[in-house]
Amino acid sequence: MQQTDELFSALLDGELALEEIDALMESLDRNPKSTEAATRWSAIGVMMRGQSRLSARTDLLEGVREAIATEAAEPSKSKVVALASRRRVRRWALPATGLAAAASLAIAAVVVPAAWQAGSPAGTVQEAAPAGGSANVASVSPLQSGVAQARLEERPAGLRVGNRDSAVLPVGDERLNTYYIEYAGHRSAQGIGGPLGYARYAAHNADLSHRNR
Amino acid sequence: MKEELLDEELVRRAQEGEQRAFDLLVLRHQSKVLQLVSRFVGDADAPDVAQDAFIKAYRALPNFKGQSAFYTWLYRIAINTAKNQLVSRKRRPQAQDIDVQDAELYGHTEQMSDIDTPESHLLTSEIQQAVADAIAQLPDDLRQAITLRELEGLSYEEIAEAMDCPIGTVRSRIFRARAVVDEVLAPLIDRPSQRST
Repeated sequence: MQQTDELFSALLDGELALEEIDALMESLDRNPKSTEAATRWSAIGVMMRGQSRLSARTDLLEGVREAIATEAAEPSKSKVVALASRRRVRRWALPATGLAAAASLAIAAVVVPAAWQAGSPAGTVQEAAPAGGSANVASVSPLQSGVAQARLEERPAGLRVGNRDSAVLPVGDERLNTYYIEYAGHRSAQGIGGPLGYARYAAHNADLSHRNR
Repeated sequence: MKEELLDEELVRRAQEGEQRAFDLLVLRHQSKVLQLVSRFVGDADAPDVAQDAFIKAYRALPNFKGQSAFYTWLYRIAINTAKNQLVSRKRRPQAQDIDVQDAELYGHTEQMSDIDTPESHLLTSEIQQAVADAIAQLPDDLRQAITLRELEGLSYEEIAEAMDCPIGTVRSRIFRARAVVDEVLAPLIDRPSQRST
């Protein structure tokens, strides 16, 4: 018994030989009084240094054992492990989340104006087009305005962006819409900014049209 | 260094599933962890917070790669647990980060422990006095050995050199000193009135 207690004393000081670990682990269950005594011994130094008496009265081992045993029986309570695995998922999913958010914005920017135009007569672009509008757009677009216009006309009328607004806004804005779509695609392909620029423009554009009504 | 080697071995065995190895780590470090967290959350909450810290350490043990000493890692967990406890009680944690070594060295009257009761201070003084008296009455060789260990922080090898005796004798003297002091300490600790705080 005394030899075992001496092992506990050496453990507290970090002076236990590695080959003595097994003997000490075996005695943990056999000599509960020794573990209680070891708790008090560890407090002696604390008190000699003029610190708290807390540690002399508090044996944490039993509570820790119970909690670990409970968790082993109910693994779902392992919060830290769960948090760690969530963190791994988050790190992995971070780029995908950004892409998903950008894609959602782009879709919203395209679909919302399309939904607004439902019910409005097709071909209002041409009806509302003032003379010279196309020249104005061509002067600011880095893309060939003819190509952009052709792509616009290839799309079904129900999907043309800004058709409803075109009843109010000049055709230059319609072309500017197209330009922004093309430009946003170009920027996205180059990895510079994605569709956010267009989304910002579309939101502003829609706001303008509502004010003009 | 030897202490770190012991911790490394216990951590390795605990990571391999030997629960008792972790028990030994708890026994080895519980006193220091208690002191540490009590300076943040006070004596009343310290046992719960310290226990929580050990449980968190156990859960996170598979992720411990040994890049720092085990006690450094454990103390960081304990400090974070204590800070979280303060936040959950809507008490402001320390504005600045406290280094693990600094936290250990803080006296009990430093700014961290601002919520202890006069009663707890009285009890502390009473038990400390009893321990001091018991140490003073120890035979010279035992008193010298435990003083060099607990107050000077010397290793057994260094104490053996200072006292000019084998390491085994140092180990035995320190154990015997503790056993004698414990005869005084145990009845004080087991007094019912002191269990209530």
